[in-house]
Amino acid sequence: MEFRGIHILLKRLLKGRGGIALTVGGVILSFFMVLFIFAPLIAPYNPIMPVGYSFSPPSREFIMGTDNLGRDVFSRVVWGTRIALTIAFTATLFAALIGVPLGFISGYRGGIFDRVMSLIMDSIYSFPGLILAIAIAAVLGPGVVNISLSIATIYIPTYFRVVRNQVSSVKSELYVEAARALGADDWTILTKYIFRSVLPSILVILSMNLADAVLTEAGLSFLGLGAPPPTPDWGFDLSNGQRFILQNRWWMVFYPGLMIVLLTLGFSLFGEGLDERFNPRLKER
Amino acid sequence: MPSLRSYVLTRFILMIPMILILLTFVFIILRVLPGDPASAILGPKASPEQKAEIREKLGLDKPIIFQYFSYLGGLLKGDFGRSMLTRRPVLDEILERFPATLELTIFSLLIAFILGLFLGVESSRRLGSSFDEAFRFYAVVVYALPVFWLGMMFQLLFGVKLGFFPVSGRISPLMEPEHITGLYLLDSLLTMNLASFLNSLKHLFLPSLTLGIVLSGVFLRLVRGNMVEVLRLDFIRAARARGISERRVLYRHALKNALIPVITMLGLEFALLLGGAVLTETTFSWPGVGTFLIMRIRYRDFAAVQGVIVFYALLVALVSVIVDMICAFIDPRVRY
Repeated sequence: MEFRGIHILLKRLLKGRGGIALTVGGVILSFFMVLFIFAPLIAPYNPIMPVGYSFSPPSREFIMGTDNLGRDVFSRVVWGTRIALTIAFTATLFAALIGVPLGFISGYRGGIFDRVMSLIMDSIYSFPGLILAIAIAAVLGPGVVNISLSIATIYIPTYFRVVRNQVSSVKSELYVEAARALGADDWTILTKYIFRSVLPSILVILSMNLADAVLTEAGLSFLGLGAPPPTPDWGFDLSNGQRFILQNRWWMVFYPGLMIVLLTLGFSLFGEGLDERFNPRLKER
Repeated sequence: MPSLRSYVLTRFILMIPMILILLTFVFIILRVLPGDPASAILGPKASPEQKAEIREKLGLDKPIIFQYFSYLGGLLKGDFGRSMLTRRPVLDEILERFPATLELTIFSLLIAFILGLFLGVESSRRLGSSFDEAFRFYAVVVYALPVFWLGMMFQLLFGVKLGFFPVSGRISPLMEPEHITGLYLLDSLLTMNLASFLNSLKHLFLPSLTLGIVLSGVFLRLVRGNMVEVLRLDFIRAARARGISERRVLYRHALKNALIPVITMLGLEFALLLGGAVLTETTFSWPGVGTFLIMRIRYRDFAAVQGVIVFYALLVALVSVIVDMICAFIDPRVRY
């Protein structure tokens, strides 16, 4: 009976637009949520202490081997989930908190303010995001908050653009005009009528941005601009492992990278699924 | 109807505020935010006198507005400032490394473009088939790949295990061709130096393949999406009805029309490419502008860092104008 229950649930999930992407993305993300919450229980060793010989290849004792300092790669990979998700979420939320209201004001009010804001945001948007984040991170110095801030900066224009364009097209729709004619004030119109129609787009960008933020965070810490060592961090572990690549210590780089790929994949599949479900007219091709 | 010339002119004028905003943004980040560059350069143990001296040397004792205008004025004259580390003009140092970056980006773009074009066209013709599904998945996965990780996997496979390709550098020592353009492949061809040509091609292969594959996913999606649109149009049906071979219909008639939006996107792709190039260069110890930037960040040489960022900003603006011009040139509809 239980098996059939799961079966029906799966069927319901897979049906409809973007069902497969949503389900696969969701499964991957739940896996990482478990790692995030239960890292201390799942990791067999202390991630920042030497627990074996240096460079032990994967074995029954150390399933992903040990690094140059004799630390357990598996434990570091598990703990690395915490840094990756913390920074990705902080950065994305921060960007949304600034970009969304600015987009609302700009799109709703229009005029000179809108034109100037759009020009500024478009300029920032056109600049290579990673390089901008590198510059800001270099100035602010290492640390979780600083990295989140530098990643957040590059996503503000994304929220701004999408929200602004949506708001400025929705605000002249008939049902908004009708609400205004009935005497609704700006605040009611914004929160009740406009925000609701913009929300799905915001959720889609949120998920896509999380994918990108994971990659950017990994890139920054690979370049030595991430959380300071010995914090377990996938990007940092990759740059550390690369020094021993000629000695073929593949396990030091293979597993941390695999985690980055999986987590990014989870977010982007989830985002694609949301997009297909909420914005069907875009995907009718 | 406005002419091509007036379109190009307007486009150039529109570029000015964008560049100005970016330059101001860079100034705010690098000069206003960090607090005290003097202690950043000298370290926490420096005496107040030393700091004051450095500040005077860098012009940091003057009001911020004055600094801002002297920074803009300098850039207008082509003065990117002097490196705090080597005391050389930053622009000279950047231009020395730029050919390496250019070589890498051109080849990566070429690989991405060819892969994306071919896979995109083939997917669009087999819409909904397992081929199409497989490469839609490919596009998603490839986007999720950290370029530096893919690079390392290639280094492990082709460099360490198989020994086919060198895993770092641009050319073997003492193999550099005579300096003409700084692009090793081109220079070695111009001087008929086959050994250098093959050697630098071997070095170039893994880095550009890595970056090319990562970028190919975006191209694939763009080409596929536009091809699907174009293939629905009447002139395609007409071409097929006339008995033109399917390959010719796809690659000649349809692709030509599907490509215009793809070229429009090239400007934004270019930004992605530059970011990816920094990571790829670092992974393969490629002596380009990206490795230069990262190296100078480690030395806290903020004059050089600022120069590189400004250089990238100008490059991006220039490329976006060039892309627009190409579009206006091939498609008159762009100008209205």
